[in-house]
Amino acid sequence: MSELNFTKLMCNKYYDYTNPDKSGILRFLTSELLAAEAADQRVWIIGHVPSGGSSAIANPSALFHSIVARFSPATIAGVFFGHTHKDGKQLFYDFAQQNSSAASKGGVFRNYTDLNYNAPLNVAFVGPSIVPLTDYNAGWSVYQVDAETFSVVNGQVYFANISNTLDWNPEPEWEFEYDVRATYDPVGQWPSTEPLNATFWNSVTEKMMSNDSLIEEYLYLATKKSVLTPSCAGACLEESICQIRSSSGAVYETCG
Amino acid sequence: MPASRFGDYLCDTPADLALSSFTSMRQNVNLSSVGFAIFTGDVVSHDQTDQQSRALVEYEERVAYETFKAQLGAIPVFAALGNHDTIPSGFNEPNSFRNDSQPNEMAWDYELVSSLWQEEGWINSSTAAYAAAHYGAYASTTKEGLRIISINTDFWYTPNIFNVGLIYECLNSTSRS
Repeated sequence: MSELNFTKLMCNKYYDYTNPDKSGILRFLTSELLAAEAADQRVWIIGHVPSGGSSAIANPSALFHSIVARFSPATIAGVFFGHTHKDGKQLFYDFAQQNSSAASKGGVFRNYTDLNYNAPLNVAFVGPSIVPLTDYNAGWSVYQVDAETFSVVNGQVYFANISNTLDWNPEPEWEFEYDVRATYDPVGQWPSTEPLNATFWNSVTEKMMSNDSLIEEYLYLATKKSVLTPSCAGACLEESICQIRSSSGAVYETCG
Repeated sequence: MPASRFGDYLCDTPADLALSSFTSMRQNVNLSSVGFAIFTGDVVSHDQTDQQSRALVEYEERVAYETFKAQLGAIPVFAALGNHDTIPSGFNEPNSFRNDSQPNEMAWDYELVSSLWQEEGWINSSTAAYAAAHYGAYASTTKEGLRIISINTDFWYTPNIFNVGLIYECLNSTSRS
């Protein structure tokens, strides 16, 4: 009598988010930053998807924040993103001191969402897009940069109002939208010799917390003054300020 | 109502709108005082994947960067790859992902953009070679002495399926009949 053997495979499928750098892209970034630090050279990091916000996976974006914190403000003079089609800022804060605890294998665990909001380290400029998708005007930005430190000293945005496309003749009309210092430091409290660094933008977010019109203005400029700017009030404004103060997907998840 | 030839709130950028932005830069900024430009990615149209092709990606990347060069002249452009620079959008696999001898699925794309950046004179050949082999990422020093590090952020982008390692944990059990 013949015997038939059945081998049954019982499989559990699960998702592995444990390695935050499977591609090695953050290792590349770190190596370059170490070399720049050793050479006393200033660096801009440019990328597409902002590390803070709903489009960034918690683990790799938290590691990116950790790397930026390690090399800021000494080596990293600027971080620049796109992707959102909106004009925006994103702050990187230092980690709270008390949150590192020795792990059993000699490593250190860190809570990447436990931040010291009194220690802003760097800021990312999220550039406006030319593309109007979706419900935005078109925009581009020019920055004034310190020739020695490469820190951003000021900037302006120009925009084309997509509401007017049927009236443009023969060419689109581009308009001056705003000057960063004139908008966020209208009475000139910030020294003209100081760059628009994380300390500056942190103070802007603190003002926003008690001044609805300032965060409303930020959200209006985010769409490049679109007539279709979504209305935002109360908790929506609070979440918007929290997003500016979110360096990683992990921190952003605490905003909701 | 049809969209204007200059665009609409629900449309991708028409060529006439994109070109006019460079005219406005010349009108509002003394371009001779501009050291360099940065472009944070996303050239390819926001079309459905089944309406796109590798040929479309190649065409749009070439036209975009050649336009930047034609409009900005001697101002170098340092670009980063966006999720809309590959097909399908957001697809970028780690080089370590494969267990065969095939090249990275998007090698053609990284070779394309890095060769374009080199052709336009924005990065040198060794930097372009690095970008071609490393997801379009590179580091380059501007003539002013600033180090620019361009990274491919699709490796933290939520919809990139290659960021998720699917693990199958299997138990063998043999039964007899």
